[in-house]
Amino acid sequence: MCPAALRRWTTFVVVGALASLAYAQSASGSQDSEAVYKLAGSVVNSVTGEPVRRAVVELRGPQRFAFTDANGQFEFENLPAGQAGLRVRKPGFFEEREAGQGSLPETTRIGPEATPVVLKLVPEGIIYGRAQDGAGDPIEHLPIKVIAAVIYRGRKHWMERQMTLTDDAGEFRLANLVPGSYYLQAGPIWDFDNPHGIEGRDQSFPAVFYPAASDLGGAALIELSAGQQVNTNLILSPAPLYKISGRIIGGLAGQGVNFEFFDALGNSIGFPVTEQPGGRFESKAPAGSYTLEANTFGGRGKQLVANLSLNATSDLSGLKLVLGPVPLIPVMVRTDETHPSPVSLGSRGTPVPSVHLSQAGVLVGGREFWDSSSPESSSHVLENVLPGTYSVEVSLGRGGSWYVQSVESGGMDLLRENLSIVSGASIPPIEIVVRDDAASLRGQVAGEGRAGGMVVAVPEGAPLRARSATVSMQGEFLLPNLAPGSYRVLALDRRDIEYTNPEVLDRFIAQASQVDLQANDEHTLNLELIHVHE
Amino acid sequence: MTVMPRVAICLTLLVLSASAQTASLQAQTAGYRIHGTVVNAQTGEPLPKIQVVIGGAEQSEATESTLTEEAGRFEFENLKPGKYWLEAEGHGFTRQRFEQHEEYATAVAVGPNLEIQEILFRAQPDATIDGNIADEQGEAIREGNVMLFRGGAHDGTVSIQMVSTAPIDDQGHYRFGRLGAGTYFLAVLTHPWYAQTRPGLRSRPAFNSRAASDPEPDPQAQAQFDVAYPITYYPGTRDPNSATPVVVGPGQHASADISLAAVPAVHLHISNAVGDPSRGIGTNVMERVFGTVAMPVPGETSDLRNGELEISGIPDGQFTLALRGVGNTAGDREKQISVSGDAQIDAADASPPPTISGMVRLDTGEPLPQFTALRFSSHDQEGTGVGVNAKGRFEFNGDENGLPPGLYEISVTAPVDLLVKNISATGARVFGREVDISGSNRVRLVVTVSEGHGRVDGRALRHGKPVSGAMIVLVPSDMEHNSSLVRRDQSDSDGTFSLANTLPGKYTVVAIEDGWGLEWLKREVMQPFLRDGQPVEVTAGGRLKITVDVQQPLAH
Repeated sequence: MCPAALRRWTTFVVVGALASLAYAQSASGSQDSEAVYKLAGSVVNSVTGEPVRRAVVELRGPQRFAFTDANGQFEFENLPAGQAGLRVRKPGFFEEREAGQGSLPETTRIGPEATPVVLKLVPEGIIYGRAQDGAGDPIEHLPIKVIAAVIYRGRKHWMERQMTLTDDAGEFRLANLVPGSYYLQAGPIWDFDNPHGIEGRDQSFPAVFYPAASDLGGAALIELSAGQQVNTNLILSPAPLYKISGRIIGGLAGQGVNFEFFDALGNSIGFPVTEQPGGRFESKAPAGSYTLEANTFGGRGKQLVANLSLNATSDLSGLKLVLGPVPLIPVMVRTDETHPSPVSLGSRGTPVPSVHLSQAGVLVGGREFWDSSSPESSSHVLENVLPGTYSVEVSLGRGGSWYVQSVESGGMDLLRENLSIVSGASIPPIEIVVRDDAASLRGQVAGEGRAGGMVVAVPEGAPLRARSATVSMQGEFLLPNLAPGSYRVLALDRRDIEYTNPEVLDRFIAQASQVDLQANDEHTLNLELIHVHE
Repeated sequence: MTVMPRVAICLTLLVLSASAQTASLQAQTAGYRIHGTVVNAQTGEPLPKIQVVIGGAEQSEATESTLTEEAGRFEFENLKPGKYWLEAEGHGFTRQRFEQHEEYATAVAVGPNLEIQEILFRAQPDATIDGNIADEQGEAIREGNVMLFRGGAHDGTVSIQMVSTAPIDDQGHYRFGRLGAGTYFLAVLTHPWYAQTRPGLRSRPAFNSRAASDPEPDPQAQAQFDVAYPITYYPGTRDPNSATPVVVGPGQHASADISLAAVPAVHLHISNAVGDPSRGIGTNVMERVFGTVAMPVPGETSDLRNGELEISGIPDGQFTLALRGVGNTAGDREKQISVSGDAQIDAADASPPPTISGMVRLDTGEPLPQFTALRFSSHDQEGTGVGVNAKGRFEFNGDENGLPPGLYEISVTAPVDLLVKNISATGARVFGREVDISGSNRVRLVVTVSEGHGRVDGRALRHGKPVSGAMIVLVPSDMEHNSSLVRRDQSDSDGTFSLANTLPGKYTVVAIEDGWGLEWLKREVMQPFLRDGQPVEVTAGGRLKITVDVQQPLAH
């Protein structure tokens, strides 16, 4: 053929081939690598099993979206073979992973033998109710908060999850709640502008914790399961506002002072504080326990702080806030080298521990401090630590065989006790001893659903020092830098377990393995996965 | 008396004697008394636990407060002679003044030779408006806000003003409580929860390498996700002029459900969005609701990092595109855009937001009184008030203050009567007392004012006896073309009223008992009352004292 004709013919063939590929819809079963497939499935309510209509299913790889129909069914067409991720959403529902049930996202195979997929959606929990005063009248604009436990690295932290205000009928509604346990706090409100009140004083509503406690200690947990709507009605009694007054001692004349009130949960509350000449201050607060803090600048720009705990059950006067310099806590690190490090490339110098103080006893939020240290110096400091009680955590970077053997301050073992910082008093340095003969633990976890779970090693008698590691897709785990000693070790299929709490551990301890680690031990252990049913 | 402080109240202390002779025993003891009962205006039942507050008529701050007891009674003692305003508030009764109508109320006068009346404070119970927001499939919408607007007429200008917003809860429900009786409008601003935007006109290639091997997905199936909700007015229209009003009387409850329909989302590519492309660009697409307040429209923006932007997920419509250089507020620029589909927009001609600034001067050269403000009003909306500082200067951003480009009449509000005498402007055209502010300009005004207002004080009487709570209207001779000259007041307990800030001209003063339901802005409604009204001629700086006979509203 002449070249021109050949070209035309080639073009025709190529175009034709593309055309046939584009229309290869029913190519299932074809050996052609361009074959396309369908993926079908349904979305159901995880509690009732009923289909969920008009949910949005997202396919990832390639990215597509589809609504489920009236029967909860969905279908994607024209998909190339392979693995794809699936996510599903609908307002009022959570994916299983978001609700703390199940661990890894869904992936599914697309191909000739694909079976329909069933995706579950967990229905939201709702807490609703009405707030009224003793006479049955609604309370408007009352703040309502739900506080939930969040488990992070084995410790439980209470966090404010949602907040709303009651409407003019005193009603409130908190939706979109993940199933779990919640505390409910109502108030406080302090209406400083209301000239009319109780006993001739300004009126306020002190905080109330459902059902009727004045602090979290007496509160009841609301257990909200998936799809449940819980009605919580609250009765708050108005109470007079108490006058809180006193003097600031030790401030610089003419230098303004910042005041801040904190409630028992550690939240800042905006009670206005007025400063008066002569270092006097005045404020008002509803009944309750608070911490009043003051800070200002002294000579040479140094910060001065003071704090005071108070329990307002009546007017409080004559309070003294004594300002003192912000404590500086020196941190001294001693390294015990049991074997000299080999002088070779890649050897690491002594590790620098980092110290973390977190406010103890504060249920929600709370302050945290980290040390500022330079890699060159062997000593560093914790600066500007405001007065309070703190739990101490010391961590080392990974690598080498170092571990923290002890943390002490003024003879107190800070790995078991809290550090108390009082304004004005000097604080002995924190002494950390680091050793280089750490042990390590590694091994295999057997069991369905092990990927994404965790292995926990709890030292005997020191649950707060428990360590954890994630289990890989292949079921392996590694816990390096362990202090020598006796441990209970267990593998769990969920990571949101409060393993530093002995009460929680007790549920599983019977299934734990016992291990004694010596210095420099590299121990291997195989574990059976424990399924935590919640 | 007038309640709203922005319309200055200058009340004279009472010196007029009432016709009825009373032996004022109180005058011999310490001070005068005001006492009475608060009742539900609709049912008549006495109301306990209502906070009643009293203050001197010239002051806005309360001097005393009390709570009504079981039988609804309240009492204030030891009062000096004078006029006082009374205000009541309680559960189910939003804060309101004694015999309040719109922004007018009756002040109570006590003093020698005045009848001490038992006050019957008829408190209007709160109205509520609530409802459900749903989409075209009938499913509840769970996110977004409902905006409440109130329609009203103030001194001759009809206006719609935003009152408040309410969130939409998980059941699609919203609620506005604590409302006074009136005419309201509702608008919803929200975004479809399922909306997924498709790639923009020039977006980067998808991260997912599988996309390369993805046979073309069904465009129709994906288009149902690329949608947005336009601002929707009750009961479910995009057109503010077709919005249905919700009328509630005192204590009434109205249910207003709004249905939203998704429209295809629009994608915009903006070039020349910012001068310095290395900085980020902040952007907002704003839409005016009822032609007044500008709200940001939900959507997605990608900063392409080369001075260009892509905006997706917004509905079609008319918007203001606001561009901010991050960390550089001096670089704020705006452009009015009208989009009906995907579009390329060149923002090179976007200009700084319209600022209106300038000076107000008294023609005598003396300093202005404190609390002087400029008012910009147009025939179809209330407009805006702007404070003037001690040196007479003012400045504001037109868009942020609900002042879109347009023609405005400028007036002055102040504690003393001031009249706008002369306006000169750069960046805008002046027509007498009106200024044409078109967007994208910096407008500078110099407004000269003089104390050229007149005032009419008087008493409303029937058969020689004072009538309280009557509606007083100052009707100009050519009402149809001079509606902005109309002034109103409400007579106080001793029959006195005051019409301030009146422009020179010929008027008839009309007093109508129970006239508050009348459409007083309409010439044909007021016409029958003019014959028995009191004609007056107002001169600049003049003060008139008159008496007016109170008329009854005509039978329908």
